[in-house]
Amino acid sequence: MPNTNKISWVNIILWGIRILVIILILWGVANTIISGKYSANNWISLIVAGLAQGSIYALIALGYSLVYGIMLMINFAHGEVYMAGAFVSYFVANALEKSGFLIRQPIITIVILLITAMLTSTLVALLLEKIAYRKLHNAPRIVALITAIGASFFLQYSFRGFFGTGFKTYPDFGTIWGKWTIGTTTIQVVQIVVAVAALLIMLILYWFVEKTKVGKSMRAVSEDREIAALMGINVKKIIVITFMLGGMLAGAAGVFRGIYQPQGIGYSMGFLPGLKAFSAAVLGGIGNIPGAMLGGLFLGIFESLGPNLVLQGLGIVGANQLKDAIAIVMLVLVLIFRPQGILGEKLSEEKA
Amino acid sequence: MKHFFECKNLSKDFGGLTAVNQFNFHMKQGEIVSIIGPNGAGKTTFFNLITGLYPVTSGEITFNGHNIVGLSPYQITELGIARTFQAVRLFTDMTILENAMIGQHCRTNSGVIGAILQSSDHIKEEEHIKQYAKNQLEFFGSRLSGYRMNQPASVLSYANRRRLEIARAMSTEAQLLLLDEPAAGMNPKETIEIANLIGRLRDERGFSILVIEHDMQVVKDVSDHVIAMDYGGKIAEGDYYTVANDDRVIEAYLGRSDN
Amino acid sequence: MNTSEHKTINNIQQDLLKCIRIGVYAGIICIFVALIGMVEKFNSRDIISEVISMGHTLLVIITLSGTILTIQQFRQISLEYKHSSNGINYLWELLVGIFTGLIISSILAIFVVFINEIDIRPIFINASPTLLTILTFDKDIYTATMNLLVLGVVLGFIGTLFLNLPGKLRLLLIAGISSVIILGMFQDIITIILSKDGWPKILLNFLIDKNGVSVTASIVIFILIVITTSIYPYLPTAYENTMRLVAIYHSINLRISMYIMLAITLLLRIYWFIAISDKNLPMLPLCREGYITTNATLGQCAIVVYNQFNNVTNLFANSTSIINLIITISELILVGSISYSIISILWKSLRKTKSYNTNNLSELEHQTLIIKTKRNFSIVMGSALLLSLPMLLGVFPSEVLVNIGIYMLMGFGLNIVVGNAGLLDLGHVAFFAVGAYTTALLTSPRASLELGLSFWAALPIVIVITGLTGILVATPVLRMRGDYLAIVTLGFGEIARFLFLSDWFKPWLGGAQGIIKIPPISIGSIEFIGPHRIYYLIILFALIALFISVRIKDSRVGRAWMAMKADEKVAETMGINTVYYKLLAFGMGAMIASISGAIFATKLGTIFPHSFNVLVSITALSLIIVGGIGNLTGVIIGALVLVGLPELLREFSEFRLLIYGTLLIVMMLLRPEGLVPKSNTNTMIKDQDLIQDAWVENSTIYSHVKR
Ligand SMILES: Nc1ncnc2c1ncn2[C@@H]1O[C@H](COP(=O)(O)OP(=O)(O)OP(=O)(O)O)[C@@H](O)[C@H]1O
Ligand SMILES: [Mg+2]
Repeated sequence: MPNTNKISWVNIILWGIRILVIILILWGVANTIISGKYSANNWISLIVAGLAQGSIYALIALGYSLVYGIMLMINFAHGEVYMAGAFVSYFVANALEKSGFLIRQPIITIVILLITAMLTSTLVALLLEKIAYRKLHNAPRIVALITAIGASFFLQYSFRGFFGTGFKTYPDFGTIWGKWTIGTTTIQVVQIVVAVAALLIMLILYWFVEKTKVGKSMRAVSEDREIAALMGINVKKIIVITFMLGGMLAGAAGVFRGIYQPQGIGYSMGFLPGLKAFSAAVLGGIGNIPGAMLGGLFLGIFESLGPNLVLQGLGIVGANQLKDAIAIVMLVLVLIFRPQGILGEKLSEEKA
Repeated sequence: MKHFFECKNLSKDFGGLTAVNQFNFHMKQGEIVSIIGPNGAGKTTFFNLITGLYPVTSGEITFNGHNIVGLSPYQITELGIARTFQAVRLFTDMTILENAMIGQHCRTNSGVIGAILQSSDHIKEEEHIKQYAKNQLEFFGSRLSGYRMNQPASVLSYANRRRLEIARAMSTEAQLLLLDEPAAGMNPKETIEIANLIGRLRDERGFSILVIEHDMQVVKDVSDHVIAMDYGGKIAEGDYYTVANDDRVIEAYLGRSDN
Repeated sequence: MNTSEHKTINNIQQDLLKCIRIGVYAGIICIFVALIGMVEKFNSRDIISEVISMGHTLLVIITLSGTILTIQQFRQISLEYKHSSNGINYLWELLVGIFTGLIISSILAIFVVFINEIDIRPIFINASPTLLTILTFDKDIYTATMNLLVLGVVLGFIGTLFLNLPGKLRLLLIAGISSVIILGMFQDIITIILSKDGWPKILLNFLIDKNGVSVTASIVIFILIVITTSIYPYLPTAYENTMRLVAIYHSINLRISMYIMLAITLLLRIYWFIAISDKNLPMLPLCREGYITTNATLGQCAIVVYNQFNNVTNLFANSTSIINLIITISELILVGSISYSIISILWKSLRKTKSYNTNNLSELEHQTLIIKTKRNFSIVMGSALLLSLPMLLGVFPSEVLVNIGIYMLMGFGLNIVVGNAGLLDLGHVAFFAVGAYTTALLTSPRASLELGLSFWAALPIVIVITGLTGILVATPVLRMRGDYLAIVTLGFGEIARFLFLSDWFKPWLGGAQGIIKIPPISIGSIEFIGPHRIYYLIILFALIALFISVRIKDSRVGRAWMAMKADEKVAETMGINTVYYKLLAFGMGAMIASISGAIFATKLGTIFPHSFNVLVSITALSLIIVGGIGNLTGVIIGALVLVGLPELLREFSEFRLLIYGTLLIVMMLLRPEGLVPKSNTNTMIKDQDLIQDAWVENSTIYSHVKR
């Protein structure tokens, strides 16, 4: 007798997960708030920290999203593009600190760092595109993804070979700028600088994609590559430009990471942020530029609030250790709840 | 009386676009029904709705008394509906025989344990699957059987790929076959052959057949009944001559620039 | 082609640029390997003692490959231009070759001058004085630069020459040189294996000088290999002929003797096991580890037998001596039958006899007989080898074998998920880890559960739990597109590690300290301690996994997976419940990985979360991809090469992941078979992509109307 059951148990499990997650989150939040362990000031500073961190994620996420939009591939090595920028500009930062320039001109220093990092990351991204991805324009996604994974590990271990296994530490911008106190809340100035600068860069990108001719061609290619090519758009060039943009954003993210969290610049620093930024891009709706920004910011805030607000409320010890898991759990939840992300709509159905 | 196969007010929306619109249809067992209509009329979408590849927006499909809306494609196949695709979709890495054997999947049930232990049930079933698949391939003469059976499907010519797709569908022991433009891309000789084949499928193997076809000669030769579609709806229905001479059909074909 | 005549100067320039570009790339690669520290690391060892170091060999190989590639490119180009006269072509080729060599070496020379002048060490830690010494051959900078340039010219010349040798000679050269290089690379392990009194010592002293293969040995090896290679083409026929011979005349004798030998070898191993854990039993000389190495020649065995017979009084005085004798004889048969086959192969190949008295057999029977004999022969030989490997090799190589086995087992599991079902799983380590942790929890008396079960009691529970974990992990991601699924599984792998590390689970899983005192596996009184014994377990499980994989691949389930991998939607319309088969694949992959994890845990006795990082997954993935996806022999070879080599070559281990990464890219660019369906045209791929998008169909709004 054929099985004509319309509700498969996978659906039941998925619904179970959905309901369970919602209950757990509400329960955790309620518990924490009732316990009154944290004051409003705590929350505010957590949110600001989350925004700063989130803007870094957003910058990386944009790179994923841009490339995905155009090539329909997950550029898994993007985390390493970010790492490259952070790494190389570390050496510049170090030199500038030693020469005393940094103390005198912190803002100019940051600009210099940004330029170095952007150049480096762009270079790495372009090399990636040229060596690894160019031949894969029409390959199945899995093939492209495996190549990207290979590239990711290649880059990590090349950098390890070049610069060693030790972790590097950026000059401490945090103490240079100190803190602001507004009322009873204190906020680190570095956080504001990072968030604002990142936002600025993202706005420039947005303007570029929306208003310039190249940006419009990019959008055309991501809409339909073949038709765009028929319209006389040089698809190859657009792909290269996309990788360049992604590289620049990732380089900037690298510098911001160094400024905001000076410790732990090392060859493996790109792996987790890469994974998280991908989650952010999916959260926002992959291929969607404002989506990636929003996704990054949300993720930063979730990560910053999540452990204290939800996990502690659930009575989990050492909740902050699980911070890194939040992004991944969120990725899974997004894919269960709303696979097209917050802003994503442009996904077509199957053609049979 | 319950119909063998029936759709009531079937609709499918793709965002703003209604690909199938309040479509009503029924057929009897053992019939060959052709669907015609200009490009983009919604014929393939109709097939995709029947086979569960697309979720139905509204309406009802019943097959042998089962309401099949909302079932997964594999459940629908188990109930006895099998199809071919407009753009041939074979498993090109598998051999021709294996492609046909896939069809028997839903009629057999040996699993991992049987395969590991090579239990006698497993061996018997495997032999049965192979025999059944060969049997279907032999329906097409020597084109697909003989030494060819163990070659990968990727070596086949276009026409033979279409045939293999039909064989694969036949292997599912379906009662209703949905053929999506089986003669597309074939030369006149092959087209005539396909028309014959469709007839034989019913006469020799007892399949009921729903076929989408653009070639009016094939339609004329095979169908007991013709349905014309346009803009997702039914614009004419009846025997070949009625439909072919229907004003709206002529208009749909001639009076509308394609896309 | 006629278009060649229309080629413009511009084209010629471009083509020349192409040639130069290869040289430049090779030069950059030289600098790259120098800067990441490969050259320096490799230089700690000589290939040929006092003649050439591994670091230099690396650079030479890069330069030669650069030259050869350039000349091949050049040939292609001159073919297009229809350069007619051959003589001129040779000259041109030589010029191009030398020029390329010069380009490469001058790039390196510039680099040398650069690091000599400017200390970039604060940034590039490997640009050390040692590197400089290596690159300058310890000369002053001027001489060194000149030397480099000259060397470049010479290498360019050699490269050209090499390409113009007749194909057969080239093959011989490659075989000879590469075997010397391989010998040099493996000198450590060879030293370990051969460090035993008697002839191994002598051989070792002959082979390995201070820091590399001795000059005489390298010449001897080179010549030997060249000779073997030149007779190699006859070997397959020789083998065929021998098997024919064996099948007809000696089928019974040889087969029986081989089976007896196998049985005795097996008994011997079992005795050895028992003797090791039971101190009352005498340790037989032949059972000692590494014994075969010291005695595995006919002559040596004969001496042992002779000694046995000499002590006639002893011989029957106690049973041990008799056992001893039996064992010796069995080893003799082992050696004897191997030498028998080798000799008869040689004999047959020399005589090149073709026809035999077929003894009234029909041709078909005859063929079956031969095939059967072949199979018997390889099974017997293969299992004899598998069984004796740890004894042949000694402790350290056995350890390596165990690690290979652990990864191989994991690879078999992953192969089901990736190779058969086509689901890219980057979090396979999670299942490995769950297997290890569950085993630890169940068996360790110090674990939080304090169960202290035996391994065999725990194993089924471990397998079931991990299988369920696999299914649980897969359920939420089932409907995702392949690439999303990959990332999510990667994430799950990381989450597993976070959880193992966390304070939250510390009371149960021990946090960063992990779980200690995991007892070794035991059967009766035999404990599987040490790589020698664990090896046999791993072999057992790997064979089981292999067996299962083979059986499933060709069954209804295997076909369903294959169909699903090729085209999920079509598979579903053909009546395959893809959800079920995806879960099945994940479950089975997880189960096999869990066995691997369980053995891993008992082998180490202690497990830490840090052992279970993403690199494990990547290694497993690399090994199934390098071997050719979905190919079981590929998994074996992949594990041997990717896991075995880096462990045997300590120089490589640091660059392991660099090499894996490169291999993944290269494999995907050159041969993505197994992942790409055949004859997949552009439109089909596009189609596929649209299908992959279908999983969101319930929640999306269509906005992609075709115009
Ligand atoms: N997956 C999909 N997503 C969005 N729109 C679709 C999809 N599949 C089909 N359509 C649209 O639905 C309409 C009907 O398409 P359908 O393929 O059913 O036409 P058809 O009658 O089979 O045409 P043809 O004769 O060209 O095969 C078309 O406008 C098509 O663009
Ligand atoms: Mg159609």
